[in-house]
Amino acid sequence: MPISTNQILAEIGTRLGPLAKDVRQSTKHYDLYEALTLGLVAKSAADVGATVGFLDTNLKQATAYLFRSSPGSLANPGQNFTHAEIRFANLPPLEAHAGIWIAGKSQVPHECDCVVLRKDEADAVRSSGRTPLWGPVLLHAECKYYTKPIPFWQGRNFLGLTLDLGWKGGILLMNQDRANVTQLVRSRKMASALRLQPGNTADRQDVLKLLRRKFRRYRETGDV
Amino acid sequence: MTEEQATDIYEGLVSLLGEHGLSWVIDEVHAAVTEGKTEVNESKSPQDEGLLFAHRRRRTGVGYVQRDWTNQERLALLINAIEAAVCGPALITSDLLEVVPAWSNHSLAFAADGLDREIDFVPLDGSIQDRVALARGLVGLLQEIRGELDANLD
Repeated sequence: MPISTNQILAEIGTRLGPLAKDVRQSTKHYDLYEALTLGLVAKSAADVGATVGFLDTNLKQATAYLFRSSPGSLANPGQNFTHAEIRFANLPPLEAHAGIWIAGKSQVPHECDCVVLRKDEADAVRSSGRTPLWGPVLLHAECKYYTKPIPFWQGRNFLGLTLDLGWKGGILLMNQDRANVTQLVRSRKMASALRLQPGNTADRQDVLKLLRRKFRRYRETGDV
Repeated sequence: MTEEQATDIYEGLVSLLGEHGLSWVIDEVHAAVTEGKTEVNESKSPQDEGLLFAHRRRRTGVGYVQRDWTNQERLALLINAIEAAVCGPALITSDLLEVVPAWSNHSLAFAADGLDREIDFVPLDGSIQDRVALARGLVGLLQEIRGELDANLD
């Protein structure tokens, strides 16, 4: 049966009111989206046998969960930010961070929305004050949350970033379908592009499956 | 859905968004509408029909054309924008609780590194349930419109 314009607008209006109040006051969507990505990284590692804990910048168990809303330094954080520590038996531990700079092959620092790197590199960075290097990175996920169609240049940017990070486990996560961006990224075997739409269980499972594969490889080889 | 009904719903939604202080969502959609829509235009000449696939593929030219969005496509853009901007945050908090149950009954906080800005807090307690239910209801209504649009666009 065709929808009635007035009726559907009235129904949308009743739901929009309370949600809009929250949207105006709340944190930007992409901050939450990055936190969700870090959560998926932590869950996928735990799913394949890792022990995962959330720590603060003093490497103590986090009692509050604070994340970056703008890119920052792993070495000199301005606040007590939270990261995940990932431990597989008999392997060097890893850390997962949101919104930190990583130096690429070009020596140029790049903002990574979510990155997993070896803990010994993170420790070296904390004591020296330098930027983490691309070599000890296991994977990085870039999060694109758009209310309008995701621009094609995001695909080009992502490939450039992934190239400079040595094609090491680059994953592009988008909140919507964008065929040309996906086609571009998937034309390179070492990069992945997936849709992660909020509230979509199938999307979440696809992302977890991909992340589990990367952690399983680490568990089996110890290589980043 | 007719062009006329698509226009009526679009304008009705624009008006609702404005009333609720969400003009920025309209601005994002207007920006995309102004840019126009890029379409792939695969050209193929009739003499290519008899060629092997590989040869045909090499000869096939891929072109791009820029055109205006139709009223139905413009409405689809607005629906996607409302879903992402208005429903997205509540649905992400719900996803977060499923993915990291340890974060339930805590707040997530967000702060700009190195900048003296306010910290934003997002509670992950029982209070989110009402928002999630509203967001799911709104997604359902938007899907209903999208369903009618898809029937037209196919």
